[in-house]
Amino acid sequence: MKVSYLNDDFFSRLETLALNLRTDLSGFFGGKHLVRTYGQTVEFADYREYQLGDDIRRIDWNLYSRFEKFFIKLFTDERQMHVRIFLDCSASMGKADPQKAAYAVSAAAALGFLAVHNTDKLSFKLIKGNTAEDPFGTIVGKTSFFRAIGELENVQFAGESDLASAVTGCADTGGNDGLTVIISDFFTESEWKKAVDYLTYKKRQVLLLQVMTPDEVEPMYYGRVNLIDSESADLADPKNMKMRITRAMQMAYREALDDMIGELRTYCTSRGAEFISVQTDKPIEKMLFGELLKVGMIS
Amino acid sequence: MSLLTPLGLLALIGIFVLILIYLLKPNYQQKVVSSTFVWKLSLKYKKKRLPISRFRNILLLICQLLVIAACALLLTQPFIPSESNEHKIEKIIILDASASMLAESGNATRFERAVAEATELSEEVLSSADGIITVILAGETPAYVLERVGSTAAADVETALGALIEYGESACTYGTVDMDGAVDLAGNVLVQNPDAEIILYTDTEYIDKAGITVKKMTDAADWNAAVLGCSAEVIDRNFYTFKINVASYGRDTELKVVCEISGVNAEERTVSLEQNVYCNNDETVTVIFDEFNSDIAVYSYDTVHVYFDNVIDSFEYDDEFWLYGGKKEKLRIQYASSGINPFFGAAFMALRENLRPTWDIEIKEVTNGKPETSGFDFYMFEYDAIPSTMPTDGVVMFSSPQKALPTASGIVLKNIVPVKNAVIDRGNPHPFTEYLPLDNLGVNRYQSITVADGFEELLYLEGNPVFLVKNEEAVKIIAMLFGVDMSWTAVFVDFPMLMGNIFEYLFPATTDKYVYDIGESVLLKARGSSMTVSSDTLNEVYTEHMQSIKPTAPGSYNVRQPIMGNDAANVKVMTSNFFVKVPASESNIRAVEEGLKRLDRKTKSKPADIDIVLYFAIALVTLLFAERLLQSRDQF
Repeated sequence: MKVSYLNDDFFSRLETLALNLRTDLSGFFGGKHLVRTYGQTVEFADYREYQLGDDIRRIDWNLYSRFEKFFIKLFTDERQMHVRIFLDCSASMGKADPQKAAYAVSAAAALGFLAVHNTDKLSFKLIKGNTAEDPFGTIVGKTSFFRAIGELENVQFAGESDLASAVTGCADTGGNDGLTVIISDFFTESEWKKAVDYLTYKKRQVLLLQVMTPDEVEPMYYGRVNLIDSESADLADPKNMKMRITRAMQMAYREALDDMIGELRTYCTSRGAEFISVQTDKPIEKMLFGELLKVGMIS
Repeated sequence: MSLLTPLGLLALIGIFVLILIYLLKPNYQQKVVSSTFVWKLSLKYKKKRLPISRFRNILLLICQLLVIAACALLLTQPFIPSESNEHKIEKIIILDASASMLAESGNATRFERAVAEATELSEEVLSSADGIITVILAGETPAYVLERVGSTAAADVETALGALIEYGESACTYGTVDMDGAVDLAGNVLVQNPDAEIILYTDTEYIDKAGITVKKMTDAADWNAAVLGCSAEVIDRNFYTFKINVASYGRDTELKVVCEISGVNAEERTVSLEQNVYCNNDETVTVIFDEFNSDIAVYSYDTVHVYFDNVIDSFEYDDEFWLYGGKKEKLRIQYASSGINPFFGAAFMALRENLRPTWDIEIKEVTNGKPETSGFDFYMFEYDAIPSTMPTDGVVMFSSPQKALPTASGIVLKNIVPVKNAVIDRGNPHPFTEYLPLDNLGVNRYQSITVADGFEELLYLEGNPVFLVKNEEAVKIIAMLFGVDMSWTAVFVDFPMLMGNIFEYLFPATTDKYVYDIGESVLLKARGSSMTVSSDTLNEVYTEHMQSIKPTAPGSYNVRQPIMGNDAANVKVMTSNFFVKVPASESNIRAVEEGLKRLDRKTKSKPADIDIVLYFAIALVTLLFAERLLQSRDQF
């Protein structure tokens, strides 16, 4: 049965939120995000001594009368950002547990909604294999957003994914004009670090969103088990593994998972990126209003 | 352990099913997971542990196998059968060892045939592993030959029964047996196994067999001619009449009874008397020899030998009879006194009458002449009639001596002490003073003495000894230091009793009769210091004054004892005889008795079989818990 979190209530609750992006981004004119540079808004920011080439219309004559020097008034600048959301569409994201896929899609939709709601541009990049497809193009406005969401819910999660190749090979990764979100379980041997490094190199604000099912966090099965990887081609695929799962193995699994998450978090921190890990059994609102608020990604 | 429902073992097929399940069971269940990435990472985190999982798997399999086995055994309803004798074959063999079992026919006695049959039965019983045999020898005192031995001791049984045949006659008694005691011994075995069968090998016909299997060991050809008894009676004319009881058991026949009388009428002469008698119906016939049907009248004899002429029967031990006591020993008494005392004369006459069956007492009184100091068995010296030398061949008694006694007597007189009706006190207990009343026995005068070495002091007067005895092998002296005429002694019964005690003790009859049955006690009374009893089977010396013996074999027994002679170097020897015969009841080899002692065969509550289903159930539950524990531990 198809699982979906996306409905009017869901989006209406998001209308009070906004993405809190870095101010050193440049972006495009016409947005709502305050940036560090001075712009043409009506909100006063600072004074600066007149320099050759400045628009004389911006000279503050009151100050001139007081100091007999030319000062010009500076105003804050607001830019439009371009939020790019990379969604891992490999089989591990939805084949075994459709709820995981629905959760990932919902998270992407929520972040996308926050972007378009604040007049930012939005792009959904669907990672399939080692490429990142962009089926919807740049989305501006809610109309096109909801049309894109409607189709996004029907995306098939299959095959493998190579995050590094998909991100670095993407033609439209953008520069310092916004936020890049990678939604995945990161259960891949692909060098996701390369993707992060690449994006930070591009001066993108980066958010890694890890989605896991409870069964992945804490497997409840034990005994002699032939673990079939959802991305495996057949039973003989080396990704599959036969093992006798004992309590000790479960503890080892938990330890390995914790280390993996820890490495993700540490690496992201070292690169100025944000990382959050969510479980599908927790309400998606908790992820939005909890985890994202916690890292300061929304306000 | 036994199984009530062996078909329950079919449940063991479950073991094969379990093994099949193990073989067919998919080793791994398939589980589709989103990714095995983390699992592969986790392999590096897996801690090294001891490889006990394989052992645990085997343990689990073993546990499950045991569970199936326990279930199967539960279905079979196992139990441990009780140690009941229910299935055991137990026989109790009683072998009658009475004299009649010595009756012989066909070169084997009844007892030997009984032992042979018992041996055969034992072998048959012990050929079974559950067989148990008890053998009881019913003798005078019944005893177990073998008590509850099983098949493992078959060799011992053979040895023990073989020994009974080897012992031959000695295995049997010549008398009667305590059959009730033997049955009681069998009863002791029945307490342990009330189902045991008692088999009695005997020659006696029991009307009430009391639940005992009686195997008759008689042979149709067995017969017995028996001299049951012989007596010599003096009826009216001082001549002996010999009455001989004879019988023929098992055959009606005419018997020639021979009666040989030796030492007839104190002469070196033997008279042989014969008489034919027809015996039938196992009845006792009395044969009489007296002066009317014999050539000679017998008033004394040494021995009478009774036997059958030309008779060969099955039981030989009662075919002859010896009778003694036909000649009395002479006992010579000398009574020397300076004034013959009628009290002593009366006492001696009474003694002669009382002891007539045993002794021919001859009394000589010496009043004025010199008393003899030899040739008598008993010397009485009174008042002044005291010899200068002590006699050495008989008992010497001094009564109220008024003259110095011979030095050899060991008594030195002091003086005469007059008293007024002084009462005699009793001294040390002695056969002489036994049963003497001594009540108010007053004495008016007695002789005091100064020396009395080696004497026992039996009576006292005012603390002084007045009756002394020295009873040694060569010297027997009695000293009565008060006169019967100066005391109340003579008018009371005390004096005759005293004399009777003295003669009873010093001149006893060796035996109280001359014919005894086997098993009967013979009380021998010694006149000398020792007795030698001899027969074909016995030769013993006894030193007690009274000796009880119980002869175990029939025949003549001779008792020899030295008595005082003329001098110490030439001691006289007194000889007496008695005959021990087979009891008349044993001579009847076709005896019929009313019944055997009935044993109360209490039905012993059979010990219940031990049901061990519960234990297997406990084991099963324990195994299930263990299996569950192992299953749960399988996760770790």
